[in-house]
Amino acid sequence: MICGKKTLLEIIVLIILALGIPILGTSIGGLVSLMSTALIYGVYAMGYDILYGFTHQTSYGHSLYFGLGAYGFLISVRSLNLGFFAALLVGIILVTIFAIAIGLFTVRLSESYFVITTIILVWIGYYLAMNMVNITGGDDGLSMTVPPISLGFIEFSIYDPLVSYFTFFIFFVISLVILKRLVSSHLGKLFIAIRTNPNRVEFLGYNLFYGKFIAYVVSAIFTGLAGALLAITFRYASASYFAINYSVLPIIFCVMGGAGTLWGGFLGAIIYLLFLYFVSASWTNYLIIFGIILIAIVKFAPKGILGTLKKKIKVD
Amino acid sequence: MLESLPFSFFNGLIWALIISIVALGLSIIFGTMRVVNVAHGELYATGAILGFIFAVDYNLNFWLSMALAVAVVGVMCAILEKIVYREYEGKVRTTLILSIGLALILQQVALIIFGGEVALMKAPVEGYILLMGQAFPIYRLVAAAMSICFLTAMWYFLFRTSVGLSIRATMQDRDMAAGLGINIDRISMLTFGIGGALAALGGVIASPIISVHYLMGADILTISFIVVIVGQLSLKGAIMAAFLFAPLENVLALFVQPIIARVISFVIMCIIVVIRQTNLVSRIRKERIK
Repeated sequence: MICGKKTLLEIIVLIILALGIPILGTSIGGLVSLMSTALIYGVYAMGYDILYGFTHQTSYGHSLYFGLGAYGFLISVRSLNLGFFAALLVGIILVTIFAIAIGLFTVRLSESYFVITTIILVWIGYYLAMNMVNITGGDDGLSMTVPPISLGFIEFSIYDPLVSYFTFFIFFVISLVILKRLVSSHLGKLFIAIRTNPNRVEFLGYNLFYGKFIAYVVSAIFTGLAGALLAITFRYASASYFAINYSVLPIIFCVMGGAGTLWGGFLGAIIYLLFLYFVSASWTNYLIIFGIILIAIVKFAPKGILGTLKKKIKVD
Repeated sequence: MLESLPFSFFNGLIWALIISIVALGLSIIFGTMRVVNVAHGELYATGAILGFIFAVDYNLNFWLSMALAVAVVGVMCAILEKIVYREYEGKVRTTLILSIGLALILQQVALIIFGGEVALMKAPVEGYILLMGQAFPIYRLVAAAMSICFLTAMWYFLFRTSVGLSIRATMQDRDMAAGLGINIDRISMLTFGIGGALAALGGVIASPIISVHYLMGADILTISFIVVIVGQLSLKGAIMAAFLFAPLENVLALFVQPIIARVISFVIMCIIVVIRQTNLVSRIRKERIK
């Protein structure tokens, strides 16, 4: 069995919901594309949750991997003419290499130094991406024609919104299954132990650095995947993928939805996008609301929406 | 190129003084409350914007608008410390999220009030002097003198007064300081107020040199963080790191593109931090001894 009974149930519910959305989508304009983005941000948020929610490391620099994933895909499609999956693999490998190289050093730092170093790194990435115009296209960015997804016997064009929606959905489910399995494995227990009491983890003879490092790299990989998927949606990537705004997003998602629940990040992403969809058109300063929401959640529901709900259900 | 070297170096020194002021604010906030104050850049921008509004919209003179802007931001920060941060001090993660929220709010409010345009504040002293064959704005010298005055005042306050002693004690050991009868809550409030006021002060001093913009805080925030952690949280260390960073960047900018110069200096600072924090050098030595 690939996943537990509970996860299987969740996935079945999700599939039913996912099938329902395109049917609804014909009546509500933009719903399919909104849900596509939500799925991508969901992958991002769930990957980030491994780091933020499970090992209590707060990275402020994940947009570095987001941008790298996007550009890894885009450049291997544009310059190397690779197919869909090969390009995706290149993007993920690129992210993994960077995450390993950076993680080896940053993960050893204390909590606050880790935050600050990741902030510095994300700015380095952004400056370089803005500056290397011949590779990244700088602020204007580069566009691409996304190669069709070929499964050997059949080919899909990603330009069909339904195909892209279901592609993202499949990626989301795969990520969910992998991450759920990771969390319930022994390694996942180590993550939770690190969250609860890092000193004790060391006393018990576990390698604290190893656990933190693996969590960092795993979350970076899923961030890179999300970046590549977003580049696929827009058929475009620019230096703004490296900008610090994309680092703040998963923090907002995870805090809003509930850190350490995996699903919470996805819920947060949906809320964020719905909000963006309905409010940003009429009021451009909607970020104020998110500032207030962040503070309010820390004050009144520190476990986030899902965390608070779970607690309520357990008590009753 | 070489003839502009002293000019760039000098500019770097002045910039280092302004960075020192902002970073000093960040450093005392981080030191006393363990708050990674991401909103510090926004406080800097708020100071500059308020100064600009007081000076241009209300026609006040530069010095008065500076004092007003600094006072407003300082009081605002003291209040924010009480209502937002108080319960969570010492928890890096939680306060980080709070300050992200605060940064988003401040940034958008600044956008609403000031708009997205870029404006240059009029300097209180006009004119240029010749410095090694190049025209050098007098205001920059005034800014340097002002910064030195404020830094000296801060030094006096922190190292020669009893309140300063309490602040330093709280930075060293919060619980011990509380045990010795220092009112931690009041010290935190004061520190946050002073820290925010220093950020705003840096913003107002810098506003005639670099342009006022609602996102102007992003750069200085990162630089201040670098300076603070390279200086290992000591006030002297932060100022020394600022004097290492800013002239380095300014001189490098003569030889490579400005952005690359910044990237190189960031990377150098990052390497210093990682080496010092993870005790890389001593660990390698130990391995060798084994």
